Amino acid sequence: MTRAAIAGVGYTEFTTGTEKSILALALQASSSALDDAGLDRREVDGIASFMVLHDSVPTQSIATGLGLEQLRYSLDLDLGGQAPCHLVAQAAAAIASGQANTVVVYRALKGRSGARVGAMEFPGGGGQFRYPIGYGAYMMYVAMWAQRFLHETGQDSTDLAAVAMAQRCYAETNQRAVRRGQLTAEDYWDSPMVVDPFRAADCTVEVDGACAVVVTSLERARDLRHPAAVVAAGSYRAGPRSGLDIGDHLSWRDYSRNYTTWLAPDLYRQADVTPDDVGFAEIYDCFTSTVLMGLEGMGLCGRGESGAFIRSGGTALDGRLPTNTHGGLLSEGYLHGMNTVAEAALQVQGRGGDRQVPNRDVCVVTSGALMDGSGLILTTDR
Amino acid sequence: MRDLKDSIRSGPVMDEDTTAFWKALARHVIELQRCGTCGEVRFPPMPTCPRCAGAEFKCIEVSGRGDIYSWITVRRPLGTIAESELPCTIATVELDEGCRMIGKLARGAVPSIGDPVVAQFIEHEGWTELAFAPTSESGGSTSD
Repeated sequence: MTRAAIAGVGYTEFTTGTEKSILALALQASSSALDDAGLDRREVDGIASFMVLHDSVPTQSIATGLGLEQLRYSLDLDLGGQAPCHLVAQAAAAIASGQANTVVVYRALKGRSGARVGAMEFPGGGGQFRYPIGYGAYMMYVAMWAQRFLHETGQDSTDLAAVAMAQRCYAETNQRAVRRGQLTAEDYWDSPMVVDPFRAADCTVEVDGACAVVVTSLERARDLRHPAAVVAAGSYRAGPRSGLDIGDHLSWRDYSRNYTTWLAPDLYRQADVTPDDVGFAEIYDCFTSTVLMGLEGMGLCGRGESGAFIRSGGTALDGRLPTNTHGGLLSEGYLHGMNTVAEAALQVQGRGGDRQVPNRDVCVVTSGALMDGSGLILTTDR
Repeated sequence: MRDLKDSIRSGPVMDEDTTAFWKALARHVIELQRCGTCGEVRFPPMPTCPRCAGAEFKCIEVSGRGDIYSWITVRRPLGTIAESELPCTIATVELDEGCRMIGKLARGAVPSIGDPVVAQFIEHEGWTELAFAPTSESGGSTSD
């Protein structure tokens, strides 16, 4: 079977407001990713993307804007942060099955100046029990899980603080990050409480921008500009009773475990690796708590041990498992995890610059925070 | 696409699966579906059981008593929660019958996981809101 790899990544600037259209942002990131890989646009025959409540432009418009004359594969998902790894996995599957040769996967939005996630209602029968009482913001949902997670695992706000501080250290040298200033413990505790247990410093920062990756066959990738980031595994996974929509958690039994608990065995089996083989991780972090839950769910830390692990320096560049090396969505900006995948690819390719991880052979990437989500294992071309 | 503010103004958008629940709530009765195959009590109302996919169910009246499974307190205006409502605590409550519901916790109550609570009914124009308040035995600050 044809194996697939990420060959290039592309970004726009991440800003608090732009004069450019979402289409212009998406095209800029997609073209940058192709230039980065050293691929001509005429080689692209697949495009995949996602949007939440119509906040972006469809893949059709990117095909048109890139002047493609041979689009064979198009995939538009109505999902949030669960989507990026899922789409890369779908692109890899399309390549493996011969449906496409080269697929651009992008996320483009005006998350700051345009429609903000949380101002609109998700469709389905679950929302009528939340929206009329004001339980409508994504931050509230994740906070509801975080409270129970901390309670059950014997952790507390100091563990959330550890995530925010550790990730900011990486962001200080990342020119793309919108939050680059040092974050001390004092800064964290001075940060205003927004929704218990989250302070402002526990939350991602919404931005305008776009990010894209190019997925192609490993064979083609080997001829290109950069080393290949091989897609060794890619899966979507929902746990049992995953609810009626993204905000309906009432059927889910255990708020202290998210989809990663179910995803992990699928991913490791597919890639034929174990958590001990993983050199670094890029864990979805719309809020600090999802990093703790993700590290534990993916078996990269013991239950209840993730906060202490981070405090001990375990996720720093010289630690056992460098994690969220771009500063995460918390610091770099909320591209709904597309930038998390791009960072993983850069690191596996050995292009991490000042923040290059020492052991880049095997990386775990996750997308999503609650009942469902997806993940990748990217490896060097071994 | 419906804006969140519409829900605050006009209440829930009831549908074929949920109208019976809202009508019962207006009588200050919490009526939930119990699966005819496995006995699971479920919420939100839906055509089949999330545990066994069984399509048969009966509507039963539940006690409205339970304990706090998790909670949040909103401290800054967010979404449709206005400054005047702050701080606003919303609790996920595990009912004695085993299923979970959400509602605002009575103002001034100090939430803690495991605290016993009981349902309250708040009347609005055209709909009834389910909320919760600590029961006397909780003493307001216990934990499990």
